[in-house]
Amino acid sequence: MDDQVFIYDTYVATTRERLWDALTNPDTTEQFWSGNRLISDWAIGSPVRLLDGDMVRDEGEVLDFVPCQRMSFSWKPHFAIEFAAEQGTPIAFAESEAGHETRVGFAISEFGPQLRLTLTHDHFAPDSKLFPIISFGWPFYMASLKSLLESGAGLELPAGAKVGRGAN
Amino acid sequence: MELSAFTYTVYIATTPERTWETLTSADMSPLFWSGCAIESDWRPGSRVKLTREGVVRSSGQVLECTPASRLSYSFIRRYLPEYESEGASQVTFEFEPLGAQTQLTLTHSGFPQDSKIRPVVAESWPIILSSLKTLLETGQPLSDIRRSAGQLVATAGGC
Repeated sequence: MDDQVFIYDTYVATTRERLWDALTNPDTTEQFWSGNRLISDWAIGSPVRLLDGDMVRDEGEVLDFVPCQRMSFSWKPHFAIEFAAEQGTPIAFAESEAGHETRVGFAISEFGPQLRLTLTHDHFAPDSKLFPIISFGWPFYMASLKSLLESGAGLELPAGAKVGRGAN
Repeated sequence: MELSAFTYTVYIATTPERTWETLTSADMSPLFWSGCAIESDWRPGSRVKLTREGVVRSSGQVLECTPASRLSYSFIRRYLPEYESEGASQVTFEFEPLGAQTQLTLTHSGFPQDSKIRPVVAESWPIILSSLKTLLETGQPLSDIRRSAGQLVATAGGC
C-alpha cells in the first residue's frame, strides 16, 4: 500500500523571522488558525498542543526544530476525529485512527525575495479516513497564514463550512 | 495509464467575480503568471493561448465556461517539442464563495504516464496561485516571480 503524504506549498512575501514567529507564537497562531493556540516550548521531545480555549484539539511531540528553517512534530488529531463523527462518518473511523500518530512538518526555503513554506503531513494509518479531512483543512489555514502576514488579517472560516479539496 | 491529476486549492479574501476577472484577463494575468498573458474570448470551443513577450508558449481550447463558477480548457505546451508531443492535458478552475472569501480549486489532469509536463506544472501552479492571491488581497503580486522561478525547473510557470 502506498503511504499517503500530504504536501502543500505556499509562497509568502515576508521574512523568515515573521513567518517563524507566526507558526510558533500562540498569539499569532490564533489569528490565522480559527482562534487556536499552538503551545510548546519547542524543545525536542516536548509536548505540542493545539488549544481551543482549554480544550486540546490536537497534540503531539516535537521531533525536529531548527528555528527559521524547519520543524516537525507528531500529531494525534483529536479534533479531526470529532469532526468526522459530527459529519456522520462511521464509528469504525474513530477506532482505526484513535491513538495513531501522524507527523506534521514545516520547512521554509527562499524563493527570490519571497519564502516558500512547505507543509508535509504524513505517517497516516493504513486506509486513513483522516487524510481527506486534513487535506481540506490545511490549504485553508496556510492561505489564512499567508493573508495574515501579507495583509494583516487572517481568513475566517464560516461556521459549519466544509472546505477545500486540498493539494497533491 | 495516466498520471494522477494535480490539485491545488487556495482561499482568497475577495469575491469569485473578482477572482474570475483577474484570472481570465490578458492584461492582469502577466502580473501574477510569470509574465504570461492568457487570452481567449472564453466561449466554448474558442482558442486559449498563453503568450510571453508575444511568443505563444501554450494553447488549447475552451471546454467549459461559466463565469465566476467554472472554467475548463485544454492545454498543450508549444515551446519545446518534448512537451508538445505529450498532447493536451486539461486545466479546470472552480470558484466557490466561502463566507467573504473565494475557494479557488485548480485541477490539472490528463498527463501520460511518462509526462514531463506534470512535474513542471505541479511546481508552477502553487507559485502562480500564491501570486494571484497576493495580487487580489494587497494590490501587488509577488515580486520577481519570473526570475525566482528560474531557480527551479518551473521556468515556464505553467505557461
